[in-house]
Amino acid sequence: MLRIRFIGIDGETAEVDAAEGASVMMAARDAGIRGIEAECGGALSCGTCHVYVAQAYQAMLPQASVEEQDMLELVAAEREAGSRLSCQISMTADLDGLTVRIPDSQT
Amino acid sequence: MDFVEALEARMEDIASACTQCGKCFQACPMTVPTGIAEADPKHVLSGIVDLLRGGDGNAEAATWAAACSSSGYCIEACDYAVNPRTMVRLAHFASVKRHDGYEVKSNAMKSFRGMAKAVRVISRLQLDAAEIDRLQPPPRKVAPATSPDVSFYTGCNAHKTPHILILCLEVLRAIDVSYEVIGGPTACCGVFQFHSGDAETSGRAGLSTLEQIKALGAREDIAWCPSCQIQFQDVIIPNHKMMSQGDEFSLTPFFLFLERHLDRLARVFVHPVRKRVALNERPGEPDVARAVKRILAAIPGVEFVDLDVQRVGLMSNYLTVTPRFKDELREVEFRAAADAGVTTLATVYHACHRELCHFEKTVTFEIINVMEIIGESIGVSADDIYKRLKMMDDVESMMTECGDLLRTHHLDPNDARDVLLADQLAARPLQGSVVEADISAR
Repeated sequence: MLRIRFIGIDGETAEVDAAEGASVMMAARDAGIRGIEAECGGALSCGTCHVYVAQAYQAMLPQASVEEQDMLELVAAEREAGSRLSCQISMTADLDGLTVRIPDSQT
Repeated sequence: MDFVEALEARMEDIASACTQCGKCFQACPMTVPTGIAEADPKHVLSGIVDLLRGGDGNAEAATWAAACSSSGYCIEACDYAVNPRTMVRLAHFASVKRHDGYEVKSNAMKSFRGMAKAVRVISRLQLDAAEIDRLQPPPRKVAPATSPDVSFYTGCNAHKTPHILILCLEVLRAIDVSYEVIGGPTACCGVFQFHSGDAETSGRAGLSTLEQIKALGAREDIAWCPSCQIQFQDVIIPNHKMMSQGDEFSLTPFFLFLERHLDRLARVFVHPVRKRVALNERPGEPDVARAVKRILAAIPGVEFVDLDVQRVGLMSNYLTVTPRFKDELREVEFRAAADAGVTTLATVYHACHRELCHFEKTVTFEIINVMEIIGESIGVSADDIYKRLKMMDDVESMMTECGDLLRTHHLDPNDARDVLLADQLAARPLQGSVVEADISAR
């Protein structure tokens, strides 16, 4: 199992196990992480699974698709350099320990 | 070919097939309330075809397209096998897309988020976590070990009245049909994005749901929601077929599935239901209305009364663009039901139930969903919490009633209050803004 570290709105950290290939969004949902609403379940329709990827991991992720970039332009919280939609991040061995921060608002 | 290209190709095909005779316009019940009944039908249809081809159309065409209630009378009126309902829906999509330009993606996202939030809150104010998971399971990571008889696709907004869905599952269980449920906002048909003019996101949502349904490997895929049904029929399935070079997929309306298994149903209709029942009939899916009547006729004790009133709309919320007309239709139907001495006015669809159930306290009959009658005859029931809440007519009473579930689901009380105010105590047009003509012009 791989580990993902979520930093919540209040600064609290939660560590979650995820299988290789699982999306960060699904791992968050399965673990009941608050602040990842993921209303559309990964269909790239809602932009409510926005996260800020920690700098150390940003370059390890594949580039956001055009569709993801379109959605990121419409997210509720401020867009930053590490902004990604967690439904589009698939866990790989390289990403073990991935740290993401949850924005203060998704809607 | 991508989804947008497939949609554009279909719009051109439909525009070419339409002869612009105008018979569909003449058959439409929405022309009077929108004040365009006197327009030249051929002129309106030329505008519709122009909209489909990316033009401005004309004012009457834009009004007609925006007011479409998906009643479906136009389908029968067409002599050329064009589906005018699909054509007008596509023209409305094209009109919104042209008018809103770069805003369509943002509008689509807001529309979807608004719906999803309302469904999330309203359903959780009624059900515990286990029941939410049963009715709105998260997208599956692996296919079920054994193929179910059916996938039961609920749609999204039906989850605001979950007692209806619970009863659907109880009925399937009673007739020994195994099922997998798919539904809630994570399995969106794309209609909200489509109405906002965003083909790309609408397609992404609808095709994702189509793949989720297919992945269940059911022997038949059945659907509850008529909005999802026609969104799939009109847009998602034909586009999917073009994009996949012919891959077949279909959804069966829930009541047609039940009608096909009426012999099994009749065997479990063991409790007489002593009710004199009129149906809040909708014309958009005539086969469904027929199926529901056949099912009711098989229930011992039910006395069915056909009301001779005008029927309009796929569901009640499709008339929110013409609020006075909607009120008039409702008042006429209620008067006819009272005059006929019914004990029960039965809604067929969830949106009709949401909009009508609370009037129960102002009329001489009960207003329940038809699944409650079917369930009663089988011996199963589900509490209509939505109606109980809505009949409170006061948001603070609703909040108090739902206090425990509010805390259990960690819902923000301010969010919940806003959603209750918007959803229970107001109604928003599904298609867009109100397009009703000034009353003096009618």
